[in-house]
Amino acid sequence: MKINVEMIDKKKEEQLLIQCYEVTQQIDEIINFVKSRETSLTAYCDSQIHFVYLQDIYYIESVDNKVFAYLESLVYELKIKLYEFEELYGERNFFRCSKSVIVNLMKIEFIKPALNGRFMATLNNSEKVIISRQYVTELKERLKGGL
Amino acid sequence: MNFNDFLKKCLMNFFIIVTCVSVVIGIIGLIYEPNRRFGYEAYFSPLIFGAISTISFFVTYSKKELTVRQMIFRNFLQLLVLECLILITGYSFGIMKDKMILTSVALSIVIVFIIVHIISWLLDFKTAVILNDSLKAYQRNDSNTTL
Repeated sequence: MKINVEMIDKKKEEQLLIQCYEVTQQIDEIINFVKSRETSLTAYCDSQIHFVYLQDIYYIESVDNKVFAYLESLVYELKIKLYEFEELYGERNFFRCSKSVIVNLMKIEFIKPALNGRFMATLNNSEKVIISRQYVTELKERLKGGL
Repeated sequence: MNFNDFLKKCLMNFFIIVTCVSVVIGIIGLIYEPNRRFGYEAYFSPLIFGAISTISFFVTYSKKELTVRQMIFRNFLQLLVLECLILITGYSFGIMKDKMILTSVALSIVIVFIIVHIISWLLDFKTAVILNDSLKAYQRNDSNTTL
């Protein structure tokens, strides 16, 4: 495999581009390695400490003053307040969609209307998250950058 | 939604309802009693019915985010409260003594309630289409720039 390293201006965002014929196990290993160098959070499950990668989180929910991170099929408790998470990672594809939930925009499969001006986001793992009426305008603005 | 925002929404609903009630009274009056004449006090009835109808919105208020099922139940409850409040008030003030008028008003409330919800759902559906398009573009954009 040919490797090219290109120096870029500091104003530009660093990126790793893989050009391949198909995504093989070797490519997956490279991706996982790069992912492992990305931001991870300390999470707790059954009194055990785990490291959760930010991009693997589907949504964050605050329940009775505890904050939980929902992954594809696992749930971890985070020792961080919801607003702190929003402040730290709000710029990185995470969006506050209701008073108690922050959703990963990259994990949303589709959005459909719920009742009374609210919307329901169905995630890639089929879980559903409510988007409150008051956050809809903000979501539109946030997604505008993608068009 | 906090309580202040809810009150603002109620005030908006009040003025919409007053307009709609005036139209409904006009249509029903023209059908059943086209020759009847009223005094100036008749101008207050849409306002009274508007205020009564706005009370029914308090059934839908919740500090916590309601699920779709809970919202459907609350909307159904709102319709029941609305019917009871309007028919009891109308009957007590002698505006709706006739069985035929009572039935027409009850039916009108159901029809208006359903139409309002259908229109609201259609508008939300349109918004959902825009959100889904923006979301796909956002996700494509982000996949191209980051892993």
